[in-house]
Amino acid sequence: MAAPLVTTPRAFVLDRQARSITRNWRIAIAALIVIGAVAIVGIIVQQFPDTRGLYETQDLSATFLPPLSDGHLLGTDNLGRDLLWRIIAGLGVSLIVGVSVAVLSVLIGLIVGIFAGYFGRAADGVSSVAIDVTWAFPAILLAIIFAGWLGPGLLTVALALAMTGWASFARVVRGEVLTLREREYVAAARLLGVSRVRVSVRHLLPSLYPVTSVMAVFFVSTSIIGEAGLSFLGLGAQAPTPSLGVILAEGRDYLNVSWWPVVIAGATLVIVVLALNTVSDGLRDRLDPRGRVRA
Amino acid sequence: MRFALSRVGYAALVMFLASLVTFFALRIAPGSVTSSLLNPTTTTPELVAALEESLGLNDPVLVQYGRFMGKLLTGDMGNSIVSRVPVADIIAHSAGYTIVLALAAFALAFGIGVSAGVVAAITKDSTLDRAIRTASSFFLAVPNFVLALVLILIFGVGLHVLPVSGAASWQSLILPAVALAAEPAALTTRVTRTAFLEQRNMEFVRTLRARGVAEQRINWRHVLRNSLSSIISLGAVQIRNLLGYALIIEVIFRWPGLGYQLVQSILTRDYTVAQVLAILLAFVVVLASALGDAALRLADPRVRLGGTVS
Amino acid sequence: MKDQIEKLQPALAEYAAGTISRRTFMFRASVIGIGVAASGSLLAACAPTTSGQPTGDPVSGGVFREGYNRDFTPPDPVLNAWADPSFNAFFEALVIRDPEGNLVPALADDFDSDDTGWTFQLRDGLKFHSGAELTATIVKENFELFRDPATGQNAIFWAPITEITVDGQTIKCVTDGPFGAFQETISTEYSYIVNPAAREAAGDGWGSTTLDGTGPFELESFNPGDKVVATRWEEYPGTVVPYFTNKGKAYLDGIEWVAITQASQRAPEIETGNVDAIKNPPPQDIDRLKSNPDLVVQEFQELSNFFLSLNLSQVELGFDDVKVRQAISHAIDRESIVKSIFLSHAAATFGPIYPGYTFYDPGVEQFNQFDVEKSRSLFDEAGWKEGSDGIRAKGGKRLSFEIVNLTDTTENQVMQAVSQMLADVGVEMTVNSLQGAAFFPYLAPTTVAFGFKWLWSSPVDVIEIFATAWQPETDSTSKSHELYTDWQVAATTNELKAAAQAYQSFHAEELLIIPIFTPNTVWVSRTNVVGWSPNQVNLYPFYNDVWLAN
Repeated sequence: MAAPLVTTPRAFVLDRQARSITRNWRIAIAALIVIGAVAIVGIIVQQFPDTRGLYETQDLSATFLPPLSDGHLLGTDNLGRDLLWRIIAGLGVSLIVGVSVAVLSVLIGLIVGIFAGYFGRAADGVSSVAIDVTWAFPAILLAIIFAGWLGPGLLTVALALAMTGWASFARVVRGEVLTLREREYVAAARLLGVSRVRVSVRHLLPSLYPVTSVMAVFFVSTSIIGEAGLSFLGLGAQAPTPSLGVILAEGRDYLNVSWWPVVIAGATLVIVVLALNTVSDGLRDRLDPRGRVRA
Repeated sequence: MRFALSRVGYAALVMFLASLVTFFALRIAPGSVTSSLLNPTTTTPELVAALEESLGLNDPVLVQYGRFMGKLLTGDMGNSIVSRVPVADIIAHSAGYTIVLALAAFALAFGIGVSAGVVAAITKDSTLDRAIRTASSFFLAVPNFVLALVLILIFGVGLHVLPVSGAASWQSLILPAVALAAEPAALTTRVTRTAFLEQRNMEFVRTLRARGVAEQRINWRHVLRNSLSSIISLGAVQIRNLLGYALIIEVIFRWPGLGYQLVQSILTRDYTVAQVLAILLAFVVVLASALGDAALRLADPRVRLGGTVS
Repeated sequence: MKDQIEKLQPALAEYAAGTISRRTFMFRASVIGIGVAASGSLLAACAPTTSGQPTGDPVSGGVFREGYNRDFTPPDPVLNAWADPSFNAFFEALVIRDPEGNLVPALADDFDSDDTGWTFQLRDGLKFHSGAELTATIVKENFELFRDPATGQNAIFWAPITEITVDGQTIKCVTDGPFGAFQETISTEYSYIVNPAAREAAGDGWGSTTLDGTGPFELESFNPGDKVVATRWEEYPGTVVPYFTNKGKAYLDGIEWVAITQASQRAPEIETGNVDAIKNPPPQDIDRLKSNPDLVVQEFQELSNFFLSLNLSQVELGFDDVKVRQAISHAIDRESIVKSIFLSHAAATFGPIYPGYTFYDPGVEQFNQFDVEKSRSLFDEAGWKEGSDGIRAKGGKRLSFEIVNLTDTTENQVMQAVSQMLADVGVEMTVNSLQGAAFFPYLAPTTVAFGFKWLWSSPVDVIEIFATAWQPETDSTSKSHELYTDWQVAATTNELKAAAQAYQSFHAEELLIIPIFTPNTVWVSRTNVVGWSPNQVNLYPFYNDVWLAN
């Protein structure tokens, strides 16, 4: 990007942005806490047969009830199931998958990135090829293939997303490590005979913390969208397990008679992602102002 | 020159691996293409067996792969198993649709993105600027399939003014292109605005202003031109994302492009089509990233050669 | 007479609304005791409204855009996964069925059947699109392809035919005894006549790049996922089908079939005028389309039935016990499904065949009625007691299983609804909805359970396959084979009827398959489309009479 010619005006610009960002950031964090709480409720509700009825019970005589109907705050869907509880449960599913995939992607990305940047030219060669092949493979293609192989389901989707998502992060990590390894303390440790693995863990990892945290939050956001998209295509959560993507898919078939499942599930998704993106941006501005992280 | 050759070799390697993965994954996946070919109600086992034999599905997987690659390298892409249309014809027929959609989306995204970004930058901190920034944050958060559904709801189901399926007329292009363009447009807006502002705050702008050059000229000739490098590098990344998104948009709107064909061929286990399209997809992604890197290098010679540009 | 007509009022109303077919109406009228003539005149008085239909002389020209609810497969009567509507444009059969269900001449101008087989008299002067002559020998070649299990996928239905002989323009399908059921086989899409030499020469390209048939249209382009295009064959020799008004070449310049696989997009496509006709909009769009003055909606019962199949080899789950199967069936509230999911655009089926069938047996309706108490007591009798988790168990094994179905918007819903209904009586059924290529391998003896809808114009043949092909050999399957053979050798209409009814009653009680519903087929066209007449009997409409006004 730009060469560091003038520092003051840039800092000035950042400062002005920083204030409005901080305010947005606080709102976003608050929103995430609420969303997280709701999602946890959604997860709990799916564990016990008695509470499962809240979102699974069908009522064929009460299908397509609009929001604000008796006993159904957000209305019912095509089988008469309560939409509010379906969204709560769906949110839980989306968040679990999103967080799991993010954790997996970050872990794999860190391992491969460090391996590529620090463990010699051969390692770098092999890893870079792996990174590029994975990067060129759209997750959706892998998900369809996996769905054919393992059968559709949340596991399939999570695997497909994790196995394709790590590549962009690995690239960033590799770049960082290439810079970091020139630092004196790293070189010194090697001279003292410390194994590469130990150096990675004790010296490289802590320095990678800023990019990792920014990326992790961003990954949660993209994974939630990814799971929703794949579930929407029918490759993810299978009935009766709800997920925001499944609610969108079912709602789509009945757009002509009931628009609210699509709109409400869509809005929920947007709010979650918006909150996550804002937090991620804020983290980036604080921890990674040079913009090294670009997904 | 050597660099270009190594890039070509590299691209070939990536495509080869992509084809390998797709090939084996499809073969291992349960489900058979024969059920797309024969009416399951009336099929006898002998018929299925005869069909599988004639398709060469009983040979070891490696042999089948070798046969496939051999034919491919001589230019024979084979026929679709399900429809028996030559794969080359399928690609020719569908590629046009995908290219049209991608170009339309790209044009929309960049057109709106750059203009909005520049406007936002010039009117910095005004209501308009804040509105544009809010809108771009919003559209970055809306997944494109959600946007597609809302568009279908409003314009197809609600108002009945636009087609929501197929590619019958130029109006059929509108909704898919808009749905596909929204996120890249938002991202472009952001990046343009940031880059523009950064450039504006640099020394050379103040120098130009001191020399009496018109504000407008500064904006358009100098600032914008220098911002291009960021915007172009963004474009290269966006192409890869665009391809993934185009798949889902084509499926939702039943836009008969390559993405739609790819999804269908995997679902129906139409091996021949799926493999070739997977290779094609990998090829396009690799090509796009190579072009992006090249364009970046042209635009900004300060970029380090051979390193990762991130 | 007067109170008889009163009893008929509901049926009259349904016919006027288009929710029942003419055949069903006539059946109900005969049940009440009203003769054919009287009911016929009653019908004429309230034919389904086709407001705004143009009258006048047919006009030549125009391209008819037809929306199809599936994706395309290459048109090939010999070996094909699914018959598309384009079959009726490109090919013809020796005989077809008229809207009343009777066999009428098409490529053959005369036909006959007796104890020694079926005889067909081929018309003179017939040819293929390529100009090649259609001779009786070529018809025989077609038949040989159809009846050989290694080449024709309909071969099992030709089994009673021992040989095909040709004498001049006469073709005879020789049998050892009467074969009344052949009338259904010979008139289906998989008995349409092709040019075998051209088919052989075209190899892989047959159906996609070239085809050679005798129908009024030629193939112009085949693009799966997008559209199939046909153009009028100028040298069409004409047709002798009695109920076609146009005996010469087609009026339309061409036809374009467009695939609209996503159900919710079908109605918007015709409402915005992108297509001239569609098939099967989803249930919730039907009423809105009916109230649209620019559209004509025709509704018939589909020639199909959606059922569940529980494999009798699953002894641990009790599927071999007919009481368990009956208990499961009684727990299903079919009427509620039809009302809520299909908005009454379907019929609950208590027997294996759709109620509109020529030889439907109303006796099946005493079985499988929704009765939760009966279901529970049958389970208890069979030794399946409710456990502490709400799921029944016997000998330590829980009544919990996975069922597979071919993914489809409404059918998936039905599966979910049934799953809930079974949970209410203590059975845990988990549904796995799969795409085509992944689903069909599940039609195997090792599959625990599957749900599927068969769609075919000769139902008894199809049921014999689905009820027995993947089930273990038991007394039940043997009995089914026995009753099926009775059907195949039936000679007269009365014998056919008796055999069909015995077959249906047996299966309604024995439940080798558990029937659930038959949907209606809904055909929608714009008012300027004239002569496009889907009917109860044929899978798809024919194109000879179709023309576009203004």
